[in-house]
Amino acid sequence: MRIFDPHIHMSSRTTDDYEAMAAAGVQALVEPAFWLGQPRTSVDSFVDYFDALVGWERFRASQFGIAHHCTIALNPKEANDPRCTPVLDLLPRYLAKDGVVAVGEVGFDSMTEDEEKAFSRQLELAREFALPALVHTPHRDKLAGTRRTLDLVEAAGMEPGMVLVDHLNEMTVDVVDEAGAWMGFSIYPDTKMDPDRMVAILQRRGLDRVLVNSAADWGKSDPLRTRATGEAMLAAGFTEDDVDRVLWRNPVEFFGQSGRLLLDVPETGQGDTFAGNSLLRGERA
Amino acid sequence: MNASAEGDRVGHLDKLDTTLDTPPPSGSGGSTSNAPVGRAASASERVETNTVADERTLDAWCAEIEAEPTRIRTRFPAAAREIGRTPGTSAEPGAERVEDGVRLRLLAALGGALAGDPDALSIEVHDLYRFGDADERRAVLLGLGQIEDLIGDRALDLVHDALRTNDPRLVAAALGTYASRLDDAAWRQAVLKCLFVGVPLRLVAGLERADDELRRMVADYAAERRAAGREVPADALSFLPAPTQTTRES
Repeated sequence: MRIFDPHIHMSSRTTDDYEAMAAAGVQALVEPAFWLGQPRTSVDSFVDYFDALVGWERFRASQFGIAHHCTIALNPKEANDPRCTPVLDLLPRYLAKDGVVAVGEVGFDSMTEDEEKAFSRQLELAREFALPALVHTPHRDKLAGTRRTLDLVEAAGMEPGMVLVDHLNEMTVDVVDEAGAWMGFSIYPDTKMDPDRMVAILQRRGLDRVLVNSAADWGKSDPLRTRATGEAMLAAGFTEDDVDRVLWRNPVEFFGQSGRLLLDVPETGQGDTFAGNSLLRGERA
Repeated sequence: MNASAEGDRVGHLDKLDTTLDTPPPSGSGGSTSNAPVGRAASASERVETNTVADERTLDAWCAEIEAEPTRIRTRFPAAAREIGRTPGTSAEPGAERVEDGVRLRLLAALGGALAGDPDALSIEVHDLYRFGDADERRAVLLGLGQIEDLIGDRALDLVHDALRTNDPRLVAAALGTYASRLDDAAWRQAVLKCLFVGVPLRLVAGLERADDELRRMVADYAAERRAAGREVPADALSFLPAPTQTTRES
């Protein structure tokens, strides 16, 4: 089983996690820029963090044969702090880089005006740099936040196919589906979504535009939940090809739209299953 | 406009941001103005990465940088995907990579353009490093030797920065000919660090500089490894007297 985890915060994980992930089949991942658990108080903290995402973390992952990509953005929480918002002016430096495969995480946390302003500005940047957007949906008031998210995406003139709306659940999946955007599900040990509920959603609506991630971060989380979901799919009667589509080809297709993937996948024995193009060998999409 | 006089980092960046989406200035020659900066292609237009550098485009970019040095700010990060790269990311220090060669050419063009203004060259090189990802930083370090006569000691802090990392690819790249400018203490520490992080010493330029103090440090390192029951790297052994002798020197 080859796995592309499309949303995992490796900065908060240990090398043991990298080792276990590689053993479980994780060959590529995307680490979205987010907060650090402890709020930042200056732009310089962002710069050092972004540097780590395109430097040190990429190196750490390479030691385990994992292709590390990232997304860059001012996150919704810190969009509310005027000490942090000037980082928006620095984003273009990073959005020009190889391996930066989307603008994100953007979106809402508490649905404030400041969050909306930063969100809209970053959707403009995504269009400007021809990058997809990775959108975080709020933990609180999730359905309203998801609807507002989709309104802003439409207002910004982003193609829905260039937008991934993440952390969805049974209540929010359908509005995103109807809008034509990609649907992300974070499989957690306790909250958000679990493998069996994920399988039920896949059985109900199919595999199109669905991405499954572990979103592992500072909280109680498990970087192997992607693998667990693949196994739950097989147990429920999905084929290995179905699993490969959800856990590999779908994220490659979505983030491949950036033209910035750095995949160099070792021999998997599965050949060029993705539309005969070179993505599997890791060149630019 | 040349940003060399711009002392204020934020002002400098603002200027960069405005250049990201504008075509090269007309003075740089019409043939280069259509070269993409990596943001224009839609899904249907994409082509495979060149694993052999696209020399024609590279020549055009170099000419463009010679005419307008600030263009390197957008060309340098885009160079791998637009001109050529070795696929995949490798943790191996010293591996030959197509994109390194491409970026060295761009740096040489920058050096040529700013040959008469070493401070401006230094500012541009520092910003390429400061805002570069690990690949871009490696290329800057590898390129310091070729602009050494122009930049003097001005970029020595970049070597120190790279030597503080634990990324063996950066440590190795920092120890080319330019590292001869390090003082003795820093240079010895750099060589010792190579043994620690697994940078082969064949990648270190000017190893004949090794002195008794470095040999003492390596001998102590070897003694510490042996005391812990661990293997002594072959590169360390090459510094030591014959294996039967004691590792202490007085």
